[in-house]
Amino acid sequence: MDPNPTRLDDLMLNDRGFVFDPNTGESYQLSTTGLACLRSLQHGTTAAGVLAGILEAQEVDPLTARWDLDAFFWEIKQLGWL
Amino acid sequence: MNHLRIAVSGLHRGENPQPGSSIVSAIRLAWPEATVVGLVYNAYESGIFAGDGPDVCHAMPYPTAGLGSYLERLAQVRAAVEFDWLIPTLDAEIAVLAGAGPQLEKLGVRMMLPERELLARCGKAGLPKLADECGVATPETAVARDLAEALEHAGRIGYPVYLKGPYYDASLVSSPASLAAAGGAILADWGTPLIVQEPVAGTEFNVMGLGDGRGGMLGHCAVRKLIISDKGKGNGSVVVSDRRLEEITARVLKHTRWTGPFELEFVRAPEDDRYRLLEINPRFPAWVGFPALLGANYPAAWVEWMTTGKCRTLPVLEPGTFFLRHQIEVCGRMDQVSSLLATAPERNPINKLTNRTA
Repeated sequence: MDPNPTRLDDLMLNDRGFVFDPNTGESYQLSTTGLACLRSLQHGTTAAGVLAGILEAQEVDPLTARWDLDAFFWEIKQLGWL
Repeated sequence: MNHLRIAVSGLHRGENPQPGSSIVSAIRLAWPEATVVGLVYNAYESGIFAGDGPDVCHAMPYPTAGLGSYLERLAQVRAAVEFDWLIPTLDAEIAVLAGAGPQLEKLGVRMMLPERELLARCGKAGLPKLADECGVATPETAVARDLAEALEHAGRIGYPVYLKGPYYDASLVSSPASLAAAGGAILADWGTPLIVQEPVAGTEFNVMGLGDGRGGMLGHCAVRKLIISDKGKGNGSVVVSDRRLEEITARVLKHTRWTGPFELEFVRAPEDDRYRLLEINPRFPAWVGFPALLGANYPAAWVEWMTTGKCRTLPVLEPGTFFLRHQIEVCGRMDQVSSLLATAPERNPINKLTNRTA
């Protein structure tokens, strides 16, 4: 999955996980992991790279991480960020 | 610029706030010493009593009384207090005054408004055709000359529908009986036509700005409504930056070669993510004071353009900045009200509590 650089680059994030989408005017609160994933995507990391980052940073079963990450990608795709 | 002397209308900031008070505040930000004359229709228009409100106010006849009555009264006001410029801020006034520039100039008053023909094209009745010409989606809309036609249109579009007047009032009606009741009230207040419109559920966006008359803009500010009042007014909105919205706005401005203030109202339905143009307002919105507070003073740029011919572009507001409408109390005295209720020009105009006089 290739990130959509335009929409992702537009997102305004702060360190507490607050996200403002200037295209829609909607705001969101991300978990720490969600924030790390989104920032990775903003830096051009691929989906596989994001998963590898999670596995490296956290003690988590790879299948569970993959499952959760897919759900996260699905959600942000609905928002038009991917 | 010489000492600015300007008249502004639409000073009430109640549940359905009018733009005039925000425009007066923005003018005061740029020219604190300006002489501002308030033209009011009601002695209890709250902006009369605002701290940074007009120096002096005069009562006017309702625009529905016609251009003749309006000009006659304006001449009386002009004789009582000198001003050189007029900013009408209400749709009903603008409809009456468009094309009346020469008559106003005879009174020593100037203004800038879109041509009558353009106003008709952009009005609620003409909007579907204009939107089509611009390639912009709009809700299904039909224009009715009377209640019978409105009922016919509503039956075809399917209930519920919005029923709108030519300038103000919009009611969501869900049956022929409720349409008849709402339509009767609108016709009594505002006359024909009645506009029947398909309701589109979604997120509401507004774009305000200044058209340069050559198809471009001196600036614009796009917001998404965050808090919507019972009357559908945006009591809080956040600045957005959506290229699609900007592109649609630019297309409408280019097609109309719009001159001066405008507000475009949109709704974006979640089903198809498309913007639909709901209305074009030929004036600043009531929230025009918000960008002015952040350095994008549209009324000041407009006044500067009118009075000196100098056009300057306005700064872009940062997405994520927002406004909330904050109701406060303003104080008055009954003698101010009684002065305003007197319509004859030789009687006292009402002065502010500060007793400043024009």
